[in-house]
Amino acid sequence: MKRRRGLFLVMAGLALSVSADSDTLLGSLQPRGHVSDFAGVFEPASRDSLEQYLLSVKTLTGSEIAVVTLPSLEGGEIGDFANRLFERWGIGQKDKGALLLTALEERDVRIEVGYGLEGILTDARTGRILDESVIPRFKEGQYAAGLADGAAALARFAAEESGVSLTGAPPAGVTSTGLAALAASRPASSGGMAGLIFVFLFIGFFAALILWARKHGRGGTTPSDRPRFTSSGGGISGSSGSGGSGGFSGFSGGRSGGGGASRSW
Amino acid sequence: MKKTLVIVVGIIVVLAMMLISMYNKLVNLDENAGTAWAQVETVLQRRYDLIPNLVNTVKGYAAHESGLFEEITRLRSQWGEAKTTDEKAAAATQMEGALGRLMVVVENYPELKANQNFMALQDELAGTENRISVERRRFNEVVREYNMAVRRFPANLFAGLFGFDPKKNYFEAEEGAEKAPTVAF
Repeated sequence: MKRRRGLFLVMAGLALSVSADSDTLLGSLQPRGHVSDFAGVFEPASRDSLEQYLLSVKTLTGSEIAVVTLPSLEGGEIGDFANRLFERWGIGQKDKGALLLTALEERDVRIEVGYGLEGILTDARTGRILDESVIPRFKEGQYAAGLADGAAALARFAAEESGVSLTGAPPAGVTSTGLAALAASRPASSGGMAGLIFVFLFIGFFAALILWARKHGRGGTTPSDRPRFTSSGGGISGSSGSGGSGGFSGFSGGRSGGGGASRSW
Repeated sequence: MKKTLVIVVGIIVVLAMMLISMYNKLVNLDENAGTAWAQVETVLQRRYDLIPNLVNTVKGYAAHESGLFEEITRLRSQWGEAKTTDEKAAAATQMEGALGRLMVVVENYPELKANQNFMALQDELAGTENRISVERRRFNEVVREYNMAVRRFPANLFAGLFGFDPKKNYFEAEEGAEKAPTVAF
């Protein structure tokens, strides 16, 4: 019995395989947006432009890309930490998400890929993104630029996955022109189609409401019905207007299964 | 007399309801463990699919390490023959050790390490090993939950009656092997 208990403890240790400090750290981290710069490597302006860029990437491709910097992993291992942070924050809509995580003290960087992007962001590809876009910049001490380049490379694959092409190379100067190019490349048909369907549904809903009101309302629409109609119309036009410019509103519950690649510099 | 009958029936009904909810909970946990194990098998299969490619690439540079290649081939067919969860776990653990040794061998061949194809394979293998450790962790967490539920009173009294395993085995990594293939290169 004693032996069994010992075995259980060993196993529980293996299952967690991370130090208590790192667990505490993990539990305390809350996302600050798509870019969570806990280590403070970004200038506020470049952080904001990367944030805006990733926000529009989410709008256009449906994929959520998170960039996270940490001063230290507090004894944790980056692969395990990235996977558990990914799951805790729930990065990705329908598991279409990617996490670019770096820890400065350990000099480790990792791309963790959500289940939904594993097909396009293979381990070999994420390794190459790190080798070609991120590590060279990191070696020069340009962390923000390396992360922005890496995030942009991830965004290109996310765009390929959803059949959108991102023209231009935004990150370093995630400028308004870069964003315009991004927005312009969205296939117009799908957006137009969805809009059209929406309009029809809307009209159908109205027609049904009016018919219902005629039947039950004893002589057409009552005055009390009118404000309700106009207010719902206002709500809908408001939501369609804020589609591209809304702020970060939390991640969407995606999960990853350990795909991706890690590097040290 | 009638009163006692009502009380007895009431107690039986309450007990039956407790039993049903406990039974359903065990079914859920058992099912979760099955799902988690299926995930483990998927990523293990991914590793086995990767191996022929990896071995062929390494062979081109390190032909005289044939003993190790043969062992890997043998372990690979052992996986194919494994039926039960425990057999599969054992086969996977041995393969982990062999792959760890392969990666140590690779260290002696700088030309191989510089090979573009091999570098991509290394990332795929590292990613696969990482996936295995992730799914293994999730599986072990589910198993721990199951084992705790099954051994707790009063579930322990009737779990066997309904055909639940009295205890599921964890999927343990070979000591020290977990890190070896992942980080060694």
